[in-house]
Amino acid sequence: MTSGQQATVVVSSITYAIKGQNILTGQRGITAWVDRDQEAYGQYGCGYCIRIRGDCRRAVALLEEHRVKIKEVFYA
Amino acid sequence: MIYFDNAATSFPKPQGVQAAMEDALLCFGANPGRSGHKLSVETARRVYACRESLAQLFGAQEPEQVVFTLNCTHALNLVFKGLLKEGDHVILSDLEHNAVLRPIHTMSQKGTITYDLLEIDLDSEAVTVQRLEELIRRETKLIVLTAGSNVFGSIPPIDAIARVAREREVYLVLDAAQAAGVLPIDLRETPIDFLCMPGHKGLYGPTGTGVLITPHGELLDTMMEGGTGSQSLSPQMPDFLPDRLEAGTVNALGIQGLGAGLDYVRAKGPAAIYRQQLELAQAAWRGLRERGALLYTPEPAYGSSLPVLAFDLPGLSGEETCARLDEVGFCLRGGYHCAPLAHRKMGTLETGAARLSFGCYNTMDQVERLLREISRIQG
Repeated sequence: MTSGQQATVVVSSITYAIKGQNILTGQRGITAWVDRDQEAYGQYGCGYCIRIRGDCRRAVALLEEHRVKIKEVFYA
Repeated sequence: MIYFDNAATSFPKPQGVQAAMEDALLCFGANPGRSGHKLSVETARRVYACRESLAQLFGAQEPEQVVFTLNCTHALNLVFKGLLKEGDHVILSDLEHNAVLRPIHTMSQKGTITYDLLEIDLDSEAVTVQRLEELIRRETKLIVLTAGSNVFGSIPPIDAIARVAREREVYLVLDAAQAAGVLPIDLRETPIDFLCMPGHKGLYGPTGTGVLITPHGELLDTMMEGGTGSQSLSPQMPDFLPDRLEAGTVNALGIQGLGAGLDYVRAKGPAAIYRQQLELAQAAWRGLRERGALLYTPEPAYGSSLPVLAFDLPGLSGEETCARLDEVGFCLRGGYHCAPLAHRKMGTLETGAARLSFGCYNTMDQVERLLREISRIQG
């Protein structure tokens, strides 16, 4: 994996996590699943995130376009 | 037993609802949105699927604009108590249920707000609109309108009232207690700011489910605060939907049942459901008229009536009529139906009325059996 091909998108709630995953699922070149990030949980008190593999910048743009409330994005 | 009390709650429920709730009890009973384990996320996925299905059925912009409540009354109260401030003025129609009248009246008695009744002219949209225009004043913040009377089935001019509300920049609440799942309602076509409904009537979910759909949820002050699984370190409620208005664990079991009810409704389509039930209501209305019943509902007509009829039999009160029918296996509601405004309007405030309300599982054969029984009661 090269930079920009793995990301963790921390979102506001489980609703946005599932919404985001549903938006990304089926997008060519993107794999996404819901998870809980322990570091984000400590920081935001929610911690639900979408783990992404593939074209992460396009994935994040898609999430923003669909008004998914993103707290933070970590690119690997 | 033949059930004609679907305006109170639909019964029976589709088999899919029972199956979904069994699944929920046996396999997906974790708390959605609280924990990180797989079962919690899977349960949350099912809750989200129901949210998304509601958004699609009613034309909401986004699934997160769908808020789960305990019932329609809860949804209405969230709006009234979250939106209205001191000095605000509210207009409600004269067909409203106590779920609207009582909270608004209580707020008025406390001196917080004032309200006026809009007299709906069931024969003239133009007259109704003119009356509404005359009632709106600078302080008017909200118009509350039923999508159809729970006693008489009468449908007010929803689109026309919504247009006036939008032009005059007044919020509109539509109480779809009897209409959700029966009348096609699309927020993309009709500018409704707050759409309130039960899950357990025309959407065929279990009791304990209700829904508020709104693009303005962030405007509402919270009526209840508590855990949401989000922003857990903050003492303040989240400012985003649905969390802002869903304090405490949601009814995950009921919501999964509601999801299956929605599958049933969407597969049939509200327009087809409406046509089927209206045909039954029309046949019942004609049969009751032939038998000399006192009919308080005009002949049901497509677009102006829900499949709900109010009537009495000569010499019997509504309660007595329903009791006699109950003895031979028919379930109807008699009395006042929690709607004194509507009873006053239709002249049944002294007497109450028997109510026949139809659901997807009623048949023409059942209507004919009811009419035969009514002939027998009348001797």
